[in-house]
Formats: sequence, C-alpha cells, structure tokens
Amino acid sequence: MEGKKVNVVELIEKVKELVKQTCYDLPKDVYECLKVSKEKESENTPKEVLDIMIKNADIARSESLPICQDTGFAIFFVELPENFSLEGSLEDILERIFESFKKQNKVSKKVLEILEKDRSYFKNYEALKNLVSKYTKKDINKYYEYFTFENYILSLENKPLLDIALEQATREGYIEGYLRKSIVCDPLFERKNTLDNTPCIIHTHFSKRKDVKIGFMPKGGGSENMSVLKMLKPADGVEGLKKFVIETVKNAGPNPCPPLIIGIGVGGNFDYAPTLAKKALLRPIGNRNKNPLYAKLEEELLEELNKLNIGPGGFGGKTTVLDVRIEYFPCHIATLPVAINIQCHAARYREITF
Amino acid sequence: MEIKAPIFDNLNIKKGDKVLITGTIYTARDAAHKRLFEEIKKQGKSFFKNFPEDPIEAYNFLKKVRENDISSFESFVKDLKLPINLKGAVIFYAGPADTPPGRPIGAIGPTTSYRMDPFAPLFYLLGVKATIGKGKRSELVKEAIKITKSAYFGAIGGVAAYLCSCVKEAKIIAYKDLGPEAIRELKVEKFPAFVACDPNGNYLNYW
Repeated sequence: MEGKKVNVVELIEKVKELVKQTCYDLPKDVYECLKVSKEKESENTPKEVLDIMIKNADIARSESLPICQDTGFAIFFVELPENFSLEGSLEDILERIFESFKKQNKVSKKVLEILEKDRSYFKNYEALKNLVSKYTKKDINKYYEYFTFENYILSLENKPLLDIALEQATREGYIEGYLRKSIVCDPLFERKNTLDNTPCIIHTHFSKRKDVKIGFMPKGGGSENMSVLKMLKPADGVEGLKKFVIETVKNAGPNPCPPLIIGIGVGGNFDYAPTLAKKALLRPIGNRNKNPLYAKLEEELLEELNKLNIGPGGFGGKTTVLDVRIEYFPCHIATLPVAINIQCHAARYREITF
Repeated sequence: MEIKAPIFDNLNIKKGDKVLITGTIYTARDAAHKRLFEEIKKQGKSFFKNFPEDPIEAYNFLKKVRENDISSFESFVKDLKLPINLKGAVIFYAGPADTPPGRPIGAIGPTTSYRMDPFAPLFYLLGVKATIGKGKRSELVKEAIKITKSAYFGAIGGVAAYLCSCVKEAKIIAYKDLGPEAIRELKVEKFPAFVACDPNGNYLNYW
C-alpha cells in the first residue's frame, strides 16, 4: 500500500503561512457571531465595542496586521494518517534554522563566522553538532535549548523531524509576520525571551484520515491566566459544575477580553480534563455536543453567563460569552475533574489539510 | 468626549463615559514601572531620610507628607527627574508587536492592568493624570485616583490592528533595552476608551 508522504520543506512553507494567516484573519464563525451579537445589544456602549471588534478584524485581514498584539503561545493539533511518513531529512532544513537564529542574534560570534564561510556543515548534522558542541557554554545555559543556536542544534539529536519542522515554521512565521514573541525560556528563574516564539506545544495523533490535518491556535496569556482546573466531588454534580463555571467567569470579569468562548473539559483525570477543555475550543461556534444532555447544559450555561452583564470588553452588555462548549470523558469512581479554558474574542484558530 | 493628553485641566467625566484621547501618551508596562520606581526611590532617599523600599509603602509615605507638609511634597515632585514628565501624563499599559515597514508602530493594545497596581498609586500621586489598560484595579489604585482627581481609562483588549491605526507617531524615549517593554512616546488621534474609574473614585461594575 502506498503511504501518505509529505516533504519536510513543503510542510514548513505551508505551516508558516498558516501561522501568519491565523494571526491576521479572525475565523468566519467568530466574526459572524460578533455581528449577530451587535444586533442583539440594545445599549450604545456594547454596540460600539462590538463594532470596533468587527472593524478591527477587517483592518487586520486587509492590512495583514495581528488581530491582537498578544500573538500567543503557538499550539499545534496534528492529525496524521496511519501510513504517514515525512520525506526529507534534518539536513534539508538546517540552513534555514541557522538563518532564523542569525536574524535574532542567537548564534555565537565564532560559530557564525565559521558557518558563514563554510556552509557545508548544513549538509551534515553530525559535523554541525561536533562544531557547535565546542562552543556551547558549559554553565547553566545548557539547559535552555531554545535560547542559543548551539544549544538548539545539540537538542535536535533526540527530536522527531515533524516537531523540528513545526518549530521552524513557528520561528519563520513569527519573525516574518511581525508577530509578537511572547515566550520565555524558563518559567521561574531566567524568564529570558526566546525571541522567536519557540518552543511550541504540539499535540500529535494518528487518525483514520487519508490526509494530514494541522490545526494552529495562538493562545494569548490574558485568557489563559483566567482559566481554572478544579477537582469537584462526584456529589457536586451538574449544579456544582454550573456554579464553578459561573464563579470563574464572574471572577475573570473584564480581564480575559470578553466576549469569551468557554471550553469545558469534564472527566478524564487531573491532566486530561484541561486537554478536553482546549479541544472544546476547537469546535466552531454553535456546534453543540452530540450528547443531548451536554448540549442542553451548554445552552443553559450560555444563557446564564450572558445574564452576568460583564459585556463586550467588560463594559456591560448582553454579550459576555459567544459560546460554551463541553467535552467529556469517563472518569474514576472517586473523581469529577472539571477544567475551564477561557478563550478571548480574538479566538484565533485555523486548520489546513494536505 | 475628547480628551487632550497630557491632561492639565480638571477632568469632567464619569464612569462609563466614552472618551477619545488625542495628544501625547506614554507606553509603560511591568519592567518599565519597576525601573521608574527605582529612580523615584533613589531620589526619594536623598530627599527624605526614611523613604521606603516598597512602592506601596512609598505611596503611603508620600501621601502623609502631602497631607502634613504640602510644600515639602511639592518641592520633591518639582525636583523629580525622570525620563518622562509625570505631570499630567497619560500612561498606556502596552507592549507593541514588531513594527512592519512603513508604519509608525506594530499592533498595540492594552495589557491587564493589575500587574501595575503596586506602582500606580505612587505614580498618580506624583502627577499621572490617567492610565489606560484593561481589567480590575486594586482598592489602593482607586483611592489614589480619588485623592488626585485623576482617572483610569479602560481600553478594548484584542483590537490591536484598530488601535495601531490611532497611533500617528511613535518613538522610544527610555529603556530601549527592554524591547517591547521600552517606554514609547505615542502621538495618538481619537484613541477610544471608556472611563473605568472616574475622578470621584466611582468605578464600573467588575472593574
């Protein structure tokens, strides 16, 4: 049987465009929902705020500007056919990796000098690895593989080519697209910007598809900061879940840039519930859960949350949330994990298939 | 209502009012606030013998000086030398994306204000007349706004392409090494915002 083959360079080119387009072009369902919501508002302020959000999407799309200055953490959702194979090798892309690091001044002076003179290193990973290992700092910096070209090259030894390609597409997309670089190399101590928005978070799954599907979500910090996971008691039930969701949105108030999309993950365990919540954010607006019990709960929460009068931008109004979506999974007899992932109105997500 | 920045007149506005800001404003966020405070502290320590280390305590300290010895407070404020003139200043909590060719600035929008709350009361006391950001403020920020008769403007988050079209000129005037967090002087035209906290200390629900 002939397998599905994709060339690594082609993949980088496609994903790089996906990264830029996603940051410039608001999904149609969100755009249309903002328009419908504007009609539903009766007061001036929410109408005006929604109008600015609509105009913003128009300007961003036509002038290739980011919808929001926070162009987020790069998250990929990759679905591969079972017979997928990536054509090409690391050597096909080493030179473009170097060029990106060079642009952000992340190559040490000595290595830069050598590589500018002798480009043959890019045709042999082992040789390049040996070269950079001579110039890698042996101090604490060696743990920060995204901060220097030398550290990054050394880390590629154990990394699948698909992940390397997605990281390179992110790097090129963010640099060429004038998108903001918002990732720091260490969460607690160093907090130094990696300057190219890498690494990215990659969820890869095999599927029954015949083609490759790559979804991209640049997720902003303001709305992630207001997201919460709680281990409810099984006895808390539907009412407990509703109370938790309403309290979370109330506490967040204007901070996460309403109108929001609320992704809820119910069940699984401590780490799977947030994954379900994020997955819920990938569904289009108005796409209800197939299980009628959950579909009804989504509708009820949508109605309740829109009574909070937080409104567009947090300035009051009927539109506090654009949609509520739930994903569920079986769970342990003793648990009821509930994760709420909040998405702002700049709900950027886009998929490509090839 | 049109607001001319910097603001030297009394603000005749109330919570919920829409404002359009035209004039000169400054961007400053987390790191720039920290550095401005270090400079204020240095000068505070040479002016007063027991100037506090912490920005909130420094606010409480200067508030007392202002109540009990207004002339000493005023001469400290008058002598204060900072990269930006705080008197009447409008500070925008923002860090722009990279600037594409042919534009004065890249995508820009408000960041969440609460991270600047430790510094804001002191800055209001020293002359800042308005801040622009998004989200809730602390009680102390609201108190400072009330006693200085200033304001907090809520800008719309997530509309960076629209807001960058309101910026006509931009230049870095301090802390260039901070990249997106450097202090920039912006000339803005009809920059839209809403009064989230007015000079009487009244604020919008949820803010």
